[in-house]
Amino acid sequence: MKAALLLAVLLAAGPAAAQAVGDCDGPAAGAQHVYAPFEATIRDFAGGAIRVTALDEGPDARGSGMMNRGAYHLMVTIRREDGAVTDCALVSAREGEGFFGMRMGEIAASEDAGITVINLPVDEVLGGDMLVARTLYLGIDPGAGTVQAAYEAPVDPAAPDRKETK
Amino acid sequence: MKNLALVLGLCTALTAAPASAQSTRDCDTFEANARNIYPPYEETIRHFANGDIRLIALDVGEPAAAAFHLMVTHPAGDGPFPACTLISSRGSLGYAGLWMDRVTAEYDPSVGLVVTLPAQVFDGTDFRLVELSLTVNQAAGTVTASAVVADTVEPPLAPAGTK
Repeated sequence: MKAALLLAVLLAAGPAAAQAVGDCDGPAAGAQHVYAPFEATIRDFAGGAIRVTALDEGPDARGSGMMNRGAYHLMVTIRREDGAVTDCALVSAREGEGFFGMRMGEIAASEDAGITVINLPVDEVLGGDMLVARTLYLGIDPGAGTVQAAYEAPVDPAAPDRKETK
Repeated sequence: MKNLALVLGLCTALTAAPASAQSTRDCDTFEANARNIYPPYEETIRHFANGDIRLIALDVGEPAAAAFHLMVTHPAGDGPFPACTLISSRGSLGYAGLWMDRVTAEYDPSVGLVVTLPAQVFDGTDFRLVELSLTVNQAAGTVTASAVVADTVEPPLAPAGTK
């Protein structure tokens, strides 16, 4: 499928487009979008406090021809220590559009000062016909229930513009 | 003798637990959100008919006595993309428990794929064990669900999986 698209693959040259970190209320967050193999596409981190779930909106969201769209989103759920609150954030390539691909088998995580940093290779469609390979970094604070997303650079948990999500 | 058989048959019919229709809705509700899936996923997300039909257990947490729902993704009949049906006990109230480790499926050419599993419902007074039956007709793109009280069935272990 990808080969047929004749997309140019870049290695993250140029300025990174903004990723969208939104709430989990939209249709892209439906459970019908989970896909196998679940040991790769649904992952727990931070002792189970953080769950990352890959979602695929399917062929109807992908577009075709020279107007390809990304259909993959990443749901991050955070269970607070008190167990009473679960925060949820949906990470997309941009508002209303997912990634063209997510290599969940290559996801990796590290922890620093209570912040879990997850990096995931993704493909993003630009302009409908250009495929860009990037590494998506997520900075997740289980205590505060926040998720920050950026390309190519580790997230600074102290950054003033970190996005609060519920 | 013939009359006795007739009376016995009538008594059996009267005492057999009737199947009650379950609630079926589309999947644009909060219960259908992916945040509500729970492990172990090999039990709580099941594939049938070469993956064309999927059964996904969902746990919304509250109310505890009616927190579990079932999602079925299935062919949409004439539509090119899969359809999605959410199954609950009554209205938006779900089940008190789903035994996803005891799911069975059988194909009946006259109606489609029939999936059964034990479930627990709260009837307002008591928790009752029911045999939940889902029928998925791929050609028509329909899902129907019914439940029969099965309290006499050997009580299974606690439902598998936690969120």
